Amino acid sequence: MPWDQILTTTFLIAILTAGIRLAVPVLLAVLGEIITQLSGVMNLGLEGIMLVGGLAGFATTYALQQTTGLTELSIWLGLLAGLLAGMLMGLVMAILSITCRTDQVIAGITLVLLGQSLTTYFYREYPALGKARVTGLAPLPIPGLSQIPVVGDVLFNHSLVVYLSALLVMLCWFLLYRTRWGLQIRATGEHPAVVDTSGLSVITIRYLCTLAGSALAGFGGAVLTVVQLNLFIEGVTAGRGWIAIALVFFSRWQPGLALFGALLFGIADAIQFRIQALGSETLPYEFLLMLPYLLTLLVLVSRRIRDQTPTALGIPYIQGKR
Amino acid sequence: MIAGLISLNQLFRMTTPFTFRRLLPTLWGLSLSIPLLVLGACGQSTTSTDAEPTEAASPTEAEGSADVPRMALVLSGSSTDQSWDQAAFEAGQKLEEQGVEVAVSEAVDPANVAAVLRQYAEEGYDLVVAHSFSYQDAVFEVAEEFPEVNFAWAGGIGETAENVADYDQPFYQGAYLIGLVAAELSETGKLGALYGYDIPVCHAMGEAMLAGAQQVRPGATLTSAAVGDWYDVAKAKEAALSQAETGVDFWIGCGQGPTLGQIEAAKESSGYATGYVGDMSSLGPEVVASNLIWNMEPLFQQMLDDTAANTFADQFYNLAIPEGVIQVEVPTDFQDEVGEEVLKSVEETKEQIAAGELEVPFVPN
Repeated sequence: MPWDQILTTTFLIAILTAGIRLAVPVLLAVLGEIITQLSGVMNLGLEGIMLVGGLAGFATTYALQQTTGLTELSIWLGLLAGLLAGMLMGLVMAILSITCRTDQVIAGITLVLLGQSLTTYFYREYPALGKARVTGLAPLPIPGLSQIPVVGDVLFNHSLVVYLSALLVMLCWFLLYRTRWGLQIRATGEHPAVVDTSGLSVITIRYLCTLAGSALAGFGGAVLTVVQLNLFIEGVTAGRGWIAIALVFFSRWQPGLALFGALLFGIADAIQFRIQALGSETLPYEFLLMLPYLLTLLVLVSRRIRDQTPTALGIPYIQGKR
Repeated sequence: MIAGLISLNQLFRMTTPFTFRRLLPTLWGLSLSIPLLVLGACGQSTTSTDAEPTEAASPTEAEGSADVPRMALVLSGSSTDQSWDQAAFEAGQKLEEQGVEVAVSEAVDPANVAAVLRQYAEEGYDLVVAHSFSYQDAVFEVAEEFPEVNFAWAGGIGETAENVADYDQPFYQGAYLIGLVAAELSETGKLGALYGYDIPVCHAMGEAMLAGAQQVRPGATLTSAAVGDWYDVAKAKEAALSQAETGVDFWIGCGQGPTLGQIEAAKESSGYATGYVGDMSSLGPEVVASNLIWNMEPLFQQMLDDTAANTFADQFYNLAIPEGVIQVEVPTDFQDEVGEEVLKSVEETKEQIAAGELEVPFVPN
């Protein structure tokens, strides 16, 4: 093990920045799913939503960049398109699970299949998509802060979406745990009948939360394709939607812990690539690949997770039914 | 219950994009195959023939021309992937121009491939090429049922039968030539290889590139990484970027995700990338300094010849540089940068390999 090459600041900076890059798309989906689940809807369709968001965002950005030449604006409009496409997928989920009261696990998996086949269809029907590349977002070092040694490189030398994601973590936490809205959302997931009797519409709240959650997942998919990869291929999300669902449970519905969890996965990946690059004989990289999943498992078996699960999670609300 | 699940699964598969184009036949197939599947799941072994060959022959043609060789090609992905599947598809097109009748099925899942193979066999194709490693089980199963039809699969492991040939993917021979280009272009002499998984075909590519580079630059080194996924571009790009931090500035990739990942990483770190099993210059005109091309036409032609001559049994095809199956091409934009001398040495080395004077080392693990 070349410890002298690992215990250096450049190595540390590289790991952390790469970890943050890998974490962002997943983190956005996790935040969305936290909102959705706290309102009592289990949306397992994240993988499909991220794919559709990724394709919509990429295609929009590409089309706009080709026609208008406005690089930056096209990117933001593309990300918006990804967000809206995610919302549209969320609408399917909401109608299925809230209005039609279908089994949410089935509805979620259907959504994944729908997203996969839709994107595969477009990808294969339009071969130009596979060859298209967009211009990504340049990093935006924050003046002053990015000059701080180590910390500046790790935290303040990213593209704008990374800062935006960090802000969203705080915003989500504040909205969910410090405002009346958040209380209403959490009450809907905990005890919808109480929300109903207090004169609020469970259906409306769940619809809004499912749409908001899916919008964030779609946005995450678009960030992956537009900002990070600048390309779209079939199955580009490669299981990130599923990891996001595991992370919701890992985070116990706390946005702060979600950030921690997403970073854990990202950094574990970043480290294992570098261990492979340096050629380690003593520590197999497969062990590091396994580590985050192992931690998630440990969290899932702990008893606290059961106490914190929204009581009405996954249960359709039927007015007047006890 | 099981019957229900299977037909639901089948239903989903049938509505996936490729058959989507031909919605009507699909609906027909659907209405036929669901009862069949229900029957099958009840314990009888019925065969479902739900696949739609894209260019199935019309009956008159099939009966009328006995001497026209008929070849069917089954792809696991899309014929426009600029790589593995497109290479096979284009070879099929070239054969078609020469009068061979070629039928193609795209995007066939390993779970469904047996039905597709069976249908081609029933339609009397002389040669059915199953162009994926993961078709192994189905190929050998169906081949046993149709001893008069010849099958070929992309195993690369020498697994054959009386009417099943295996064909190797000796990309490592091309990688050796790319090593010569790498030795010239790389500033650091540190080369990178990205594999989906560390399998022999991939591993040998990386090692052969290093061997080639070391011919002209003895100090060259290789850093390789297994991404752990064939399609995850984001991870592959990160893996390449982490190699870039250690000084790597010339990459070869093995698999779709790793290949696209190294191209994107090369753009970001001002390095050089390699096109894998196809011309990928358009994906990164400023970084793709060479392309490893798999020209499958002579390979398929050989198979058809062997089929006609009845010498197909237990063949393990290993066509590479000598037969013109593996080629290396330096894009015109890079020819100045690579330089005439290196281009000449690539050409000479190629001839040495073709003449058997030079053997490229095969290091599978």
